[in-house]
Parts: sequence; structure tokens; C-alpha cells
Amino acid sequence: MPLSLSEESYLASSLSLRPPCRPDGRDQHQFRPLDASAGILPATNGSARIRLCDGGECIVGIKAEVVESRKEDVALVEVQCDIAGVQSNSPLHTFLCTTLETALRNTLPASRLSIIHRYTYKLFIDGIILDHVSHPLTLFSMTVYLALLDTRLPKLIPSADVASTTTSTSSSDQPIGLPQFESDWQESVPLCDKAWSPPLVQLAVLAGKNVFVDPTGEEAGVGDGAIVVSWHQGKVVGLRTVNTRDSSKQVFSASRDVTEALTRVVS
Amino acid sequence: MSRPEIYSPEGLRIDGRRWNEVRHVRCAINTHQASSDGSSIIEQGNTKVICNVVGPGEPTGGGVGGSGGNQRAKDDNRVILTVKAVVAPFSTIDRRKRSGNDNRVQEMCLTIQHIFEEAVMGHLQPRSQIEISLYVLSQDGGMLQACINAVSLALVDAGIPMYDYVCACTAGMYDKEVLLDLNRLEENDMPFLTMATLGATRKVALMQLETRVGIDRLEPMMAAAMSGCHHLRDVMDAEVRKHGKSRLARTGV
Repeated sequence: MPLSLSEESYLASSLSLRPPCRPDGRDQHQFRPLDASAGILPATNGSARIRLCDGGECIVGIKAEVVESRKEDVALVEVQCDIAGVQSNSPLHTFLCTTLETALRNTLPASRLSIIHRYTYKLFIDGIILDHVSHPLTLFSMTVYLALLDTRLPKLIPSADVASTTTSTSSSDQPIGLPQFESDWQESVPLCDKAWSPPLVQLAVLAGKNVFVDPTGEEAGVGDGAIVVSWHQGKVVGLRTVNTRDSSKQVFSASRDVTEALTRVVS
Repeated sequence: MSRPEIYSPEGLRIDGRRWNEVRHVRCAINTHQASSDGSSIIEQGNTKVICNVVGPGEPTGGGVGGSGGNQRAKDDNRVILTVKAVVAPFSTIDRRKRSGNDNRVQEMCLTIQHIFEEAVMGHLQPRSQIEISLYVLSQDGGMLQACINAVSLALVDAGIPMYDYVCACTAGMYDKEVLLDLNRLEENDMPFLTMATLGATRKVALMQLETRVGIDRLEPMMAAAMSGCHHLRDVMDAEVRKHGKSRLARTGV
């Protein structure tokens, strides 16, 4: 339900107080409780579901396909989503998908997905946002993060790898057979390990000089602007401002606070 | 190339079932309290469907529920049902992106809408709308039957008066053998029909047969599908009663 003008100004002024006062009594850097589960869909390589306490829910399934990597412009990650109650190809879709896609493409090394020199995995990340009250970016990003942690890829049978190297040394341009994989799923290898973990993208709302993580719909509505922060392995790797309303004043002065706050929260 | 044996001479199917056994059914209601008035999850074998029901509420304008939505919006004396289905791209073995207005999905929505317009006591809620959203997360045959069962459960959870559960089940004909509740491999290999009945009665709410089958084979298929529907009704009823009991216990009555 939309807020009335007086309610809006009350909320805006209570958010820009120092220290601020959020309607649900949360701390500035505090997330709402959420319910997460991973590995819910056995037919996918990785899957996850996150539900927020306000009813927002997102389900993500990841499928890997083997593609030829001969062409240079092959995109190895594709993110798509379906949002209930929003027409497909709306600006919100494009925003969610491109934000996550760029974050993943910038951080995911191609070597992690390559199989043998001609073949590589392509990850298809598909999300369904069943319901959302607040901005779905944080929810979607967290679910993708969890699903990527859950993603397992089949184990390559080493004989195929050896065969490929011998043929490539003996005759240069011989077509090599398709990679062979272990049929036992117990043997599969996880995509993420200590060397690489997926990036997280968070939306933070600014009100006055205060920064709020995990904003509710109302907070985003009265805030001065928002910052999209991509976070990867303890570092902030991307920063972008978004207008949730009309003005974007003071967005840049506060961005340092946001990154500090988020690094602390996420780690 | 060897093909998997659909029905062995010993009378066992690919997944080890007999001809008259349904797949494992797991269902739950009231799973999404925060976002909807009624909700359910149903798993039939590896097919998994989530259903959310919002309503009855004020109609949000015509034209939402597919063709003829405007027409029904003017008809004030009955409830308006809108059905939307999202089939996840990762639900099949090979990833397949369906666009929002995929013909098969649209047709399924319309089918479900027609079934439930009959099953819901619409005259009790004039000038109101019930929104049904379906999410198919994983499919292994019997998408339509799982969707119908999920909608039934979610409507019960939303407390919408209905004449009875609408239960659906598939049956196929392999050579001369009837097989009940097919999975995807079996569906691809034989003619099959989807039947929905109103509770444990012999009233048929839906019968869909998209493949050719001899007229003499139809009757045993229908009989088997009907017995499957009756079994599903018992399973769903048991789950609803279990949930009701647990809720009653929570309120301390």
C-alpha cells in the first residue's frame, strides 16, 4: 500500500536522523531474518531457495552445458529471471540480469569452466522470483550465490584428457572426441572451492547521511538514492548508483561508508 | 542402441513399479503464509509444482485470465479465476527457455481455469477474483496432473468453498497393458490420457488425450486413471487433515 505524504516525510526524517531509526527497529547494517536452503532440485547442477520474512521468495536453478570454446566471444555465464507479476523484458529484469551477469563474468575465470582445450562449460543461471515486496536484487543475488556454492560439475575421466594431448602432439588439427565424464554423481566436483567463491551484489539505500543495507520497499521509496555494490572475496569489485526516487544527491559522499559497512556485514 | 525396457515381461516398469502403482506423492499445504492466502507444494515422483493462491479479492480489471477475460469480468455473479503458470527453464533435463506466452503453457492455464470454474462454488463469491500462480520447478511427466492437484490443495488451504477436491492422474497404454501415472520416458513412448475427477466420485472434470489410441483400449485406460485419481484424493485429504490437526493443536483448542 502506498504511503501518504505525511507518513512518507515522517519515515524520511526518521531515517536521516543520527543515529537513524528504522521502522522495524533494525540496526543500520542489519539484515532481516531469512530462510535458505540449497540443493532442492536434483535435476539441476545447483539450486537454492531463499525466503525473506516479508514473503519475498526466490528459487534459482543452475544448469551447465558443454559448448565449444573456439569462438572468442562465447559468453560463459547467462543469467535470466522470471518475476511474478512483472512483464518479461521489463527494465527490472534487464537490471537484475545484467548486474549479476557482469559481476559474474568479471570475477569468474574462464579456466574454472574449461574442460579440455576445445570444450568448456556454459552456466545457465535461471531464477524465479515468486514474490517480492522489497527490491529483489539483494534477494536474487544471494540466491544465485547460494546456488553457485551448491553447483557441482561432473568429473572428467582422465583418459579422455590424456588421449586429447597425445593426438594433438602427433597430428595438429585432428578432431578430438567429446570429453568423457564419470557417470557417478558422487564423484562430481564442486564449482566453488577455497580459490574462488561467487560474487555477491547488494543494494543499499541512502537517506541523508545514513546508509541502510537490506532496505524494505518503503525505505527504498523514501531514500535519496541507492548504491549497488558488488562484493567478491573480501573486496568491493563494483559500485554503481541507482535512483530509487528522483534525486541522487550525496550519493558519492556516502559511498565509502556503504562499502565499509557491506564488507563488514557480508564477511 | 539398446532402449530402456518400458515394461518387462515380469511386469515391472523402468522405475520398478507395477502397472497400477502411482509414483511417490509428497504434498504440503500452507507453505507460503506470508505471500499468499493459500499455497501448496506437490511432488509426484520427480515432478515438482508450487501453487500460490491470492484471493478472493477485488478484481484487478479484465483481460488478465487469457482470452475472454473481459467478458467474464462483466459477468458479476460468479467468481473470476485467473491462472498463470511459470515453467522454469531448468525444469527439464536439457535447459529450455519458454517464453511467457508459450502455447502449451497458455493452454494448460486455460484448461485449469475451466476445471476450477466448475469445481469452485463461484456463486458464493460474486464480483471477486481468485489469482492462481503455478511454478513448475521440475518435470518428469504429468505436468498437468501435478498442476491440477497443486491448485486443488492451494484452494483448500485458501478456504475457498469447493464441491470436492479435483484430483488428476495419467494412464497410458503400452501394447495391451495399462500403465498408471507415467513418468517422462513412458510418456514419450506410448499414448496416454490425463483424467481429473471430482473427489472420489465417478464425475469426470477433465479428460485429455492428445495421441491416437484404439477405441477398445480407451475404457481400461479410463478405469485405471480413475482409480489413480481416487488414490490421490485419499493422499491429499490425509495431508489436509493432518495440517488441520496440527493447526488446531497450535491454537490449543
